[in-house]
Amino acid sequence: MRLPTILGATILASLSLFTSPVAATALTYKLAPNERQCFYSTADKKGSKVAFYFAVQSGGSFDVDYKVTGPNDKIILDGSKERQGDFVFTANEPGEYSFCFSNDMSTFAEKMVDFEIAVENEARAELPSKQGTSPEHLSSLEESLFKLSGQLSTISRNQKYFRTRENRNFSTVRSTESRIFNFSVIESLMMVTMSCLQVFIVRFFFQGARKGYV
Amino acid sequence: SYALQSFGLYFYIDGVTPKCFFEELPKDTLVVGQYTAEEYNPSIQAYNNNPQLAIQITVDETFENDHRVVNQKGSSSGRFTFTAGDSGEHRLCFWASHASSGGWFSNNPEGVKLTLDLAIGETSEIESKDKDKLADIVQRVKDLNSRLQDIRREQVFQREREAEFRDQSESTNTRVVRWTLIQLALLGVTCAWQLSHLRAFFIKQKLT
Repeated sequence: MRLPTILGATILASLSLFTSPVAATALTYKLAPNERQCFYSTADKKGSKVAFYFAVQSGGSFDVDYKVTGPNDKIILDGSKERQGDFVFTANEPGEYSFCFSNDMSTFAEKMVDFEIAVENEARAELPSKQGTSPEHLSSLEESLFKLSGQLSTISRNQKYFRTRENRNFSTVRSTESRIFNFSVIESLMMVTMSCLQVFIVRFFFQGARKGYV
Repeated sequence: SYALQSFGLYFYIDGVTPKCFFEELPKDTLVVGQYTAEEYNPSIQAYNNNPQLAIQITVDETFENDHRVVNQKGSSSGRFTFTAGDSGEHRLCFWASHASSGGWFSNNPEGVKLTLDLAIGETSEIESKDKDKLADIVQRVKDLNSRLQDIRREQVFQREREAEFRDQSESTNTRVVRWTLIQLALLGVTCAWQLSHLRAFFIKQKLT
């Protein structure tokens, strides 16, 4: 008699986990040099989880300063010159949380920052709408669906990572291309200058009064 | 919209400069956004709804000469939808203004508080509309299906990007070869010039 109720309770718990409203917004923002930009979100309930992800997509050395501040100006996360970050923290106080990025370290490079802020608010327990389905029937289906959802999230995250890496590779190759041109031109000029210099110095050694002494 | 105010991400804009976001979207991606804007009221020292406030939303395709695909002007709160016609970088901008006078006289950088709930991809549309219905298993399977389609679209997009990357690598490779040959040729010419010049000089100086 105990087992079905425990199973039922687990189902309820897993359901509520699955249906808790998560407000997630994913945006990409272009930070101008020396710009500081903040985004805000409100956590209503104490103990709600906040997930913060960011990755610098392009610009300079692909790093940015970030600061997450909670209510009453309490600093929760603080980092400088980071390429990407993925944090989950529990909001101990309800209120406004600010997520700030700053590009103070660049004088002319503008950075594209891809970020996602998700606040998991009050969990609402939802019973399945179909009456007459026993918990055992649902459990294996629920579990598979839950697993599938988790794996799809992993795939999505991987794809985001690959996109970021691909942007960096692209930028490296472009920089290589322009570097080749610049250095070739500089080398050619130096070569021509040096050869002229050599010729005229040798001429100088053999000219005029020094003729015959060398 | 009441739920939106508690759960969405918000930021501050002034009435002059727009706030822009750049999103790389694969072809046929659906983007749905819900926004609520509030203006700072100095008399109560807080933000409240101002019916005169108008928000303009523009979406430009930066890869197509900033071709404007969406230009929507609406009231202080509303919803907008658009589908990406081509794969590439799209710039979404939000502008705030006063509906009646068509301009703005406040230069307060935190004059308008904009709450935004942006959903990119098919699945998210379901999420932002019918959170209650998610409990139904059939709905959940549909949601998983849509997410798979999103993943598929992103993969196609990645293939296109990779082809571009390969082209770029090949062009860099060609450039290395070309400039090395140019430099070698220059080196040969310089060497020949040096020798002939010095020979002529020494003959002239009657040393050779």
